[in-house]
Amino acid sequence: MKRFILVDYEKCHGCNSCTLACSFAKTKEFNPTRASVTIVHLPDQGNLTFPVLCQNCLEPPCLEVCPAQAITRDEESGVTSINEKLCIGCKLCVMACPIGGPWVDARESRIMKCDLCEGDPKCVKYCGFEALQFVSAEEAAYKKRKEGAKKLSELLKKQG
Amino acid sequence: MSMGNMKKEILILGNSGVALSAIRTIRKIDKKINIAVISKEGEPFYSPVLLPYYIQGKIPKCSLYPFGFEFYEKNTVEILCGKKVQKVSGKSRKVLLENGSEFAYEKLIIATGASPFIPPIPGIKNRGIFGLRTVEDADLILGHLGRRVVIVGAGAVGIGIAVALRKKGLEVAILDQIDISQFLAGMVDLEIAQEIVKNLEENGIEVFLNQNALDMEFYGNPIQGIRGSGLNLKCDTAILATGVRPNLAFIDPHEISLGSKGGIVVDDRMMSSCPDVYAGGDCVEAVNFITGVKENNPIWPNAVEQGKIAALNLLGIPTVYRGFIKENVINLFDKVLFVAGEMRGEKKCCDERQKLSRIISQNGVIRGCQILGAPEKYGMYLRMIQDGYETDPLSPLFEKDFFWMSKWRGVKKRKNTVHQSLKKSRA
Repeated sequence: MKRFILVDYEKCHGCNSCTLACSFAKTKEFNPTRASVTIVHLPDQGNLTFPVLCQNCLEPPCLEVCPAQAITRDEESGVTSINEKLCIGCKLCVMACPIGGPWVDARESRIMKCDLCEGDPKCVKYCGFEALQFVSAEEAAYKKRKEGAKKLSELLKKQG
Repeated sequence: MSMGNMKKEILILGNSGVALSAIRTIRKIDKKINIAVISKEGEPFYSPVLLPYYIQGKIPKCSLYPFGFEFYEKNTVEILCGKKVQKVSGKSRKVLLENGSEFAYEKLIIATGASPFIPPIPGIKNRGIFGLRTVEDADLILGHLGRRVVIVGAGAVGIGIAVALRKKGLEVAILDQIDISQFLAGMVDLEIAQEIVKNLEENGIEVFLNQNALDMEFYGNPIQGIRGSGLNLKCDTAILATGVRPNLAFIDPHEISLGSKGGIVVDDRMMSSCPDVYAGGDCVEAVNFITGVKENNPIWPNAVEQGKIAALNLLGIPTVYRGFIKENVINLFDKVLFVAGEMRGEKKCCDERQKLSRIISQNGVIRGCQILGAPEKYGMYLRMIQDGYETDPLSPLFEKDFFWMSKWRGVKKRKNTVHQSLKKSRA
């Protein structure tokens, strides 16, 4: 069953546990700038914090543009991954992705992106607020509808 | 799959970015429709983007061919390699090859790419003077390289080759006739141009600009050097990277219109002036999304996108090609240059330690971007240019992940075919 990481920005507190867990899992270092997830802080927009990460697109622009064909998509898991042996570091994928999925790990001279940690994403595991959830499409849809219904019912109650 | 004689439903001339993209797009939608490819080279698909890394020694030859010929079998695509096209007759829907074979088609995609300009001096390659566009070029270069190489042309390709060969350990010099104010065809401002040249020189590449092209001559057979206008550069190899010209000798320009650079002019469906003849990649002149003017834009991501759109339209799925945005990533020594869009307009600089950035806007809308420094999430800047984000206030633009930020600031972006930065000036 295909699962993906569902982001609920309203629950994010900006603690950065996700970026620390990701960077440690992938680079053995606690360093938010070396993680495949980034917390965007918007101080003058209601102090919002927003996790941004690769969405593992169905039609990944990174995969389409890679001249070395180093990026492939696994049909079963839906994960798009970069084959380090074939990657030449040209950064065309970095240029192609509109949300900043692939990023350059300058320390190790390689291009990284979220690979869902082989089905056990660390960011989800260590998020204490359920801002990141590892769900199937059906689960995600159900959760959203449930929350939507709650909000709507509160709104209707206010209207009386 | 070898080529049969039957009429082709979809015939593709060329076997690189556009062909791969078109085949993938078509097969996602229609597994059965007949597709045939005619390629002048004898190899399976490869991308010329990899060639500097190959001559550097960073990747082995087999990495150039990620799919091999199995790709065509797997995707039920007929392929005929090592054959050049002599003539395309749009009216009779036939393609004639140099060996006399003829193939009829229903729909045609011309994707024959472009080749580096090499002066028509007989035996020039035997002297050690090459272009770098094909695997054959790369192997010739590798077979000839000694210790000193001169690259003629300080464009994106020339710089890429120079950096690759310097990293390989050779002595490298770059020559160009331009002045530094015209560096990279105006895609970078003077300060960034100077930093780039400094980065190259600090790492052992000699850069000679303002060279009078008419005065220069190669001497020696095999080549011993290049001289002219007070310069005498010894070398054992010269690589010409002064620009590419579309490979379209087989076109009748009365039938398939060509533009000022000799590329096939295509409309917003990637179709040429001849019905059912589509074209894409380095051999076309398509609309520049920001300026609205048709231009040749011979870069890899352009070919991939155009191949996809041509394929969709060819299958009867009307898809508008909104136009390209000039974009490039150049890997220097420990620094990367990213440029995108158009550079005429109001310029705002945001320099930090180890990083120079420029945002160019017109009528309050971003249209160009230059960043020299550590790699960043370039795609987001490109997206901002594409969607015509408004640039006031500017300071958040250089924070990471401002893409989301501008959404929350209620910045409007519109899905028009005319770039926002042009719209207001017309009012």
